[in-house]
Amino acid sequence: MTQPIEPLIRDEPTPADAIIVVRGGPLTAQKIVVHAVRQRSVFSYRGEPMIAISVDLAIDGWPVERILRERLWSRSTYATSTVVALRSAGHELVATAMAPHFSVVLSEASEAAAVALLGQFGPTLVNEFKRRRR
Amino acid sequence: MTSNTIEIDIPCDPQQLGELDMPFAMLSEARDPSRIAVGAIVITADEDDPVFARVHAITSHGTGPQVVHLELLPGDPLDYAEALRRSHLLRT
Repeated sequence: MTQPIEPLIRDEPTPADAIIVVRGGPLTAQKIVVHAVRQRSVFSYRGEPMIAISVDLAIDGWPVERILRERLWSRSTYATSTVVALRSAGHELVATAMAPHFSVVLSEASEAAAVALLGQFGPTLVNEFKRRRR
Repeated sequence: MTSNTIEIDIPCDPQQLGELDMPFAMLSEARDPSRIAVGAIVITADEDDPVFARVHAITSHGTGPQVVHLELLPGDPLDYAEALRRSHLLRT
């Protein structure tokens, strides 16, 4: 039995097209699938298993720099996209848990779907706010 | 025999927030589930960027999986190791 995500959905305006979407590394299809499967194992959305991964959006009060410092401080790498790019590719963005966290819904937990999603993101970037470099 | 391979106690995506507004993991994915208890200090995230965490809670809904809620501990695990060596709490 999965847990409905609906009680965790924030009541806030739909994010504007131009807002930047940030995903922490590792930016690999394998990790995307693993994380989507984990979400599916725990949560349902609209009565169906929720196949989704997590991102952060640069909404009010959360510029990208703050996301990198406070949310992704443990991640060496990250990549960005935009709300319009993900929506145009058919992904729904759901405001779940605590801002600026969102869930990006995938059609399936497959490598092909993960590769397609990653294709909406720009190059892998170094997170200068990671707390330590090895 | 020792190994240089990083072994995560329980994997998670630190960006993925669950019902308690903190990262979560599946107990079934733990390397040794018997080590995963509320209050336990574990290595989580992934082999690229491992992170310390404290197990905050373990929950389940109905017959659903046991979900481990993780409080990420600040800093890199190697920072903790260096501090332990400086203080001679860790001698290797």
